[in-house]
Amino acid sequence: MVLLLSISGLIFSAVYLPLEKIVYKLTSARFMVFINTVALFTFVIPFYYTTSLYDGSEAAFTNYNVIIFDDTAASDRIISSIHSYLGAAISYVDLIWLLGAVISLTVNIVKYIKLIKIVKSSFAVESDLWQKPFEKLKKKYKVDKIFIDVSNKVDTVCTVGLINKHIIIPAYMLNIFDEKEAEFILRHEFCHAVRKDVPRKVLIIILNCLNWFNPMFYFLMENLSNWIEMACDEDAVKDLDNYDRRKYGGLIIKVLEVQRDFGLEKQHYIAGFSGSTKNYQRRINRVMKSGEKKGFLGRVLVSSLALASIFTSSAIAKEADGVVNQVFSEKSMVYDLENFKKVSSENTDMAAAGIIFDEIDFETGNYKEFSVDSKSASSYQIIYSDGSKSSVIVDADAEPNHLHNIVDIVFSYHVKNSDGSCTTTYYEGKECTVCGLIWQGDVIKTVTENPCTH
Amino acid sequence: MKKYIKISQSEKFVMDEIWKCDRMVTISDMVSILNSKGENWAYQTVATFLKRLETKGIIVSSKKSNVLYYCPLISKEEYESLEAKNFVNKSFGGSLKKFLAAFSSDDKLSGKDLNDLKEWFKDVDNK
Repeated sequence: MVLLLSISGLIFSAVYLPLEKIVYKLTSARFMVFINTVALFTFVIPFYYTTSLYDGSEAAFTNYNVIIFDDTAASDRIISSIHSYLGAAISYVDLIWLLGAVISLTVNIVKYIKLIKIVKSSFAVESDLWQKPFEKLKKKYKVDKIFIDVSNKVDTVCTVGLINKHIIIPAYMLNIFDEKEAEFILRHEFCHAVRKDVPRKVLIIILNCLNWFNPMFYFLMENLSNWIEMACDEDAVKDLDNYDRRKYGGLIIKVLEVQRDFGLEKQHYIAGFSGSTKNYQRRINRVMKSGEKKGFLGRVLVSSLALASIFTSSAIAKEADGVVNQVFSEKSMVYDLENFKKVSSENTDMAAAGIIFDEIDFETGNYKEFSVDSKSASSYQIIYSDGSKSSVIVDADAEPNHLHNIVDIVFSYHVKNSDGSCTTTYYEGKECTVCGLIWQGDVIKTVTENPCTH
Repeated sequence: MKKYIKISQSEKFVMDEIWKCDRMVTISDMVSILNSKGENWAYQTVATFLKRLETKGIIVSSKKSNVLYYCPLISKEEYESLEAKNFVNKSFGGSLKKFLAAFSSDDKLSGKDLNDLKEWFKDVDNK
């Protein structure tokens, strides 16, 4: 299922990401964060599953011991090649995925612990430049458990913490900015705290551990990070005039300039922007044009695009369902059809027992009149030369003085055993088609099946 | 990439105390801390040292209610790492191999030392 979910997410991203470059201008960055979060959840929520349940294909792979694909398409030859190439290793795919997930989770936990140590080693800021706007914004945004700290182990202003939020100022930035710039920076960080961006990012990283093998997930994660930053920019400048917006845009570049000399390790669990020149240009452009209203139409278009992507990806994942199960299911085995003989569906039991009607010698044999003395007549079955079947008639009506019309038959007697197995005995026989009288001959074959499939 | 900044032994002594603190410190804080070590630091001396360290870029200051607070720009671990790298660069041309080789002892006994040893052994043997 993880692979199918990954395929679903991959298709969604492949459809959505290129089109996002066109539609993002139609709506707010905040809405884009929502859509991108949905995009990441297509990697873990099985939207395609409802279709599989509806058409029964999901049940097919769980309820049956063997499923036979009667198809000579190229895909089957590819699957056959995959099986022969990977051999027994295919059964270890689950284990490899689990190992990768555990390693990924462990690495991220170690990074998180290192981040916690950085937070613990930081100390409270003692600076009017930062503390005055901090107190003002704390009242404005009504956030209680938030603190402002300084650290010499981070190279960018960041917000960390799931419950107690810490805005950490790099030590080298303590007295570089003026009052307004310090306030702008804190406005941006407060937006992260209010919008719960850190828990969102942590959740996405946990989901990433499940999809550690899919490169598209990493693209989407980076995309989401960038939209999160732009959404905070939007919130931070929404009540600023044009002059202050220009100053805010200039501040983004100023921060990059001062960071140039410091090259500390990037932290993953903080809300921080990562991107190319193009991304920074997009970000600054949005800040400058932030006053322009984004209408309802934009949201509708973007939502439609996302929905269309979900449907497309679900449909493709559904189609891939069979193929993925053919490759990886334990109930899937590859056989060469040349080793099998086609059996008529009308006479499968007898054919399965290896009894061919035309090869039975009905002329020689000891026949004796046969009658059913129990009510379990359903255990008896007559098989005619043309393959048709009928039940044995219990207490056939007596026909007075008639000429028997004798036909050769095979009749079978099926008994279910107490251990769940069954025994079917095939007899040579003759039957009068007028009165239904049966003569039982020699045993042709006795077949035991365990478990009974009748 | 951060650059190594050389500081004097006294400055290192002051920095060690700053690094031990888990908060930003004032000049008065540092005077108390340094004098508690049995030293005798004057307020102005400490202020001068902190100013010098700030100029060198080891610490940074911020003002709160007209009082200057200081905190280190670089952690102790990072400073010591830069110091070690600088030492290897200067003394061994940046070659870690040569640096490590300097710790190996492959001195052989000189001819004179060997003769002295033989003479000493003769004395020991005769006793």
